[in-house]
Amino acid sequence: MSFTEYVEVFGDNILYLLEQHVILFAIALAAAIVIGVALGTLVHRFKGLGTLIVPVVNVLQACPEIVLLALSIPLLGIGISGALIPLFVKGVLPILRNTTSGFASIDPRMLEAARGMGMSPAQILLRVEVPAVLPIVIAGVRISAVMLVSVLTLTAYIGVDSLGTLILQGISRMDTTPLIIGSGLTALLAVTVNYLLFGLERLASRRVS
Amino acid sequence: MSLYDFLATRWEDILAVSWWHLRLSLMAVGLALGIGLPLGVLSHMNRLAAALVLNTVSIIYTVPTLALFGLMIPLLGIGVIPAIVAVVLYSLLPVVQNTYTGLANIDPNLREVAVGMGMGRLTRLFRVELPLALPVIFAGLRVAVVNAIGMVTLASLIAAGGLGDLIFRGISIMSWNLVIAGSVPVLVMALGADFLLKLAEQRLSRSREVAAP
Amino acid sequence: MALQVEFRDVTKEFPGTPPAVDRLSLTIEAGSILALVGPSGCGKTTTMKMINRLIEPSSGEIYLGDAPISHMPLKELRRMIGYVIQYVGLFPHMSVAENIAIVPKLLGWNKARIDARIDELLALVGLPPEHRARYPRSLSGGQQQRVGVARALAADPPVLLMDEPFGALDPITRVRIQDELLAIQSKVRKTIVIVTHDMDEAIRLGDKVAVLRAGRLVQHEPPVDILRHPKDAFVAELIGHDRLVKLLSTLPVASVMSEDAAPGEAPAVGREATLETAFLRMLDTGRDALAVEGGGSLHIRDLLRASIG
Repeated sequence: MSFTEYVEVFGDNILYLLEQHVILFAIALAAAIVIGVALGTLVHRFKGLGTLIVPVVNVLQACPEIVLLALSIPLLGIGISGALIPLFVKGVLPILRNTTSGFASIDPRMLEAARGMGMSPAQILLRVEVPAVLPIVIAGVRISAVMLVSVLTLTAYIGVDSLGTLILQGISRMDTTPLIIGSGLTALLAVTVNYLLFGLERLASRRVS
Repeated sequence: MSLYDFLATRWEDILAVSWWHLRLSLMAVGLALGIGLPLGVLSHMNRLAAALVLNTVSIIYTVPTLALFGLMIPLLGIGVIPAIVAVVLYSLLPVVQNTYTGLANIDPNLREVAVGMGMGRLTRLFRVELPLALPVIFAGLRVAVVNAIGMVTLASLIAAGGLGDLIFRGISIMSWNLVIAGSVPVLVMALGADFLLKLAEQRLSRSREVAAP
Repeated sequence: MALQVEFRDVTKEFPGTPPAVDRLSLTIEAGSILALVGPSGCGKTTTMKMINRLIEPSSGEIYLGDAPISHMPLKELRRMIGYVIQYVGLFPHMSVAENIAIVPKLLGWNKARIDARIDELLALVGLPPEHRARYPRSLSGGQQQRVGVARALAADPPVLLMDEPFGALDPITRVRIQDELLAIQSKVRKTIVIVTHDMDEAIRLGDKVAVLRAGRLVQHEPPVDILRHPKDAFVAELIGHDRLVKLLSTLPVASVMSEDAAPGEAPAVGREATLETAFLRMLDTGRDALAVEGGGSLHIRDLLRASIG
């Protein structure tokens, strides 16, 4: 079947899989941002927590996604939660890491100056800390997002539809058309997400300096 | 069958498959190092080469790993060779990028001393710059090895063997024993490699610190 | 062996700025120490780096002995010139011995000769031979600086360039290492060019001091003459308000003493002691004359004469 024929016949299916991919991506990334920033802030505020969480983060960092997915089946079953939870966990890591290093990069003299000028803790957070940390956090979000777009294709293995379904079809039927459509769309998505977040990152860092 | 019984009867197979998995990974990273290190050095020496090489390897890195294996089929068919090529392509980024940054971040004072002593371009590269960049290059190597061990799992899809065979067969016949027998060795190898290489990396970078005068 | 270094009408221009070095002519006699001194941006570092051609002059020529350096092969030139920088620049991945051996290896010396040279140099700079195998990170700042000097002297180069060599050391260590450098120089007699922003260091170390401002040579004379007759307000300011104290600390008693016998019970002072020491002794004891050991005397009038020269 030629490329155009394939698109004509399976166009709706391609759109559906793209939509699925984007929805899964949005859910995983949103959850990763919320948890990553919250945990990162906590680790910064309570150093003791860091000694507990950092080794766990380092171990998880080295765990291959496909293995996390495979091991989640016996625990979480086949389906959306089995696919999303392990990927979301991987997505949390860069955001958490950048949040803590963002806080750590703030010059303590700047905080002292803010206190000296009589700013309240809430004002210091909003006017001093958040603007300084934001670009670094967004950089973490960008790394997470690009990674998530790509690894979401693996969910096809445990029966959750995504652009990976097309790639898998291509591999199992030795048919390059769905393979190229699936990987092309994924790569395009990754590049777009990277580009958008990079712009956001620069916008945020320009405001600081 | 209980997991224990399963492992008791199949441990020799699992070990053999793990060994093959590790060999595939290390072969691919070895090749990536052989290709990526010169490319990183070239990028350091020439600005045009830097733009070309660094952009190419980053673009390859955005292709999903699964798709990279798939795209090998029309080009190289299936089996060990296309699998290794895919892993090599993916491993290039950390090797090239870290070689490049490692060389770029050398203390300019040290570079100037080397020039001032009359070292030639190549002597400087081999005696001073590469040894000083080694900890950073090593960090890239660690990332490449850990990535490769995970990625080779997917190589089973294009009939290159490895622990992916156990995992994917396990998923398709709903045998959790098989899934675990495949996953745990991948985890152990990835974490073990990460730990050992990090240790070596720390020793390397400590040996390159200069006490402040 | 040492060689004379001569700048003939050397100018260095970087695009878009006034000349960093402007028509500089200057002769550094073989076996002497020249201290290049001036505020930052005065062109002193550029001047020095033109000698080993880390920077190429825009016009003019520099001669090493009789040879114009622009005609010498670059690597050969640099291997004839020892180079020490502020951060010492010891290679952290090489042991002390390996650091010292760099240039001899580049020159293709055999192992026995290199080994013997390392021992000789460690003794010269006052480090025990056990330090051969140690790495820079395990040495103190002063020890690292000594290794830096040993490394620069390794192939017995006729010329030594030192760029703010002691800038990162604490004041006490700095003075000690300056003394050691002078002791080493009395044995090796190299042509040494030292760049510094510190006039005290220039006065202590230089046989001659060259003061630069905005790329121009303002004054080039022995330290005593610069202290006695600063050419203009700029040089005087560089020297500081304690100019005369510095002058006294530069001159030995022997330079102004008289052969007259000292009055009885006058406190004694050595011939080689500085006039500063002698002056402090006078203040301390309330006497206006001192007996010089070995005969002769020093009167407070002699000190007044010293300041005029």
